[in-house]
Amino acid sequence: MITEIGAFMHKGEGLRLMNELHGDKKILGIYVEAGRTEDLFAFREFGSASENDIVTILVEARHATKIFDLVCSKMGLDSPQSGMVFQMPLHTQPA
Amino acid sequence: MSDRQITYLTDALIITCIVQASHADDVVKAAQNVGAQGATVTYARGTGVRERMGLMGVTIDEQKEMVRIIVSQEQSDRVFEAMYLAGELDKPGMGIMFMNKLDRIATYIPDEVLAEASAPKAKAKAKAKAAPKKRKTATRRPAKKVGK
Repeated sequence: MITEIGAFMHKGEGLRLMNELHGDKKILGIYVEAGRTEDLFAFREFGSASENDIVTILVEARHATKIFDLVCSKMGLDSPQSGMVFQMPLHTQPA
Repeated sequence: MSDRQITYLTDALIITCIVQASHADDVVKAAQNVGAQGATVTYARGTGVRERMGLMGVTIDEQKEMVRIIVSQEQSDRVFEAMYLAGELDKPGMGIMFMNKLDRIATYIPDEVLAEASAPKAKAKAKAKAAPKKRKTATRRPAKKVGK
């Protein structure tokens, strides 16, 4: 079972997170995209939107919680305007 | 470090919508009109339908925009429909969208919101403590009659 962990964060933070986590043997893959967001951050460079990074991490389900919590702590989610992390399964358990 | 806590949110879905470049703003606006907080948009390049449409394919932009919106379970269908209609995804080559259930989400939640959310639980606990305990009484069930 593979799980995807996604994270929306400030511009530039994605690359930093990728550099910190890419050596972790529990992580199967880590990717960074750049985009714009309308609701996550109060600082807006472009009208109603602000630049952000989207990090996608692929990890085995048994390690997902550990990596999820690690990403949360590295992003400093206990302070406002720091982004959002989510987790979703990439395939469902057969019935 | 030990006093830091992560609050997991559940019952949420992520809607991903891939549309032609410059169509994302309309889709996001439609989603916001029906209650979505906002969206994250990235640029992408996609091919496939474009090639299969023959000469008509030249009218479809290869550059795409990918819209991601996280919504609660109850508003997901409403937001999905609004985005679908705004993106005109019922027309060929306009794009595709899908929805995935999330296991959990974590983000910053202000202390007062957390306190408010946990208040009903604490109240219920206090109420249960204050209420006098009911005495358990044994009841005897009538013996089953064995059929003839």
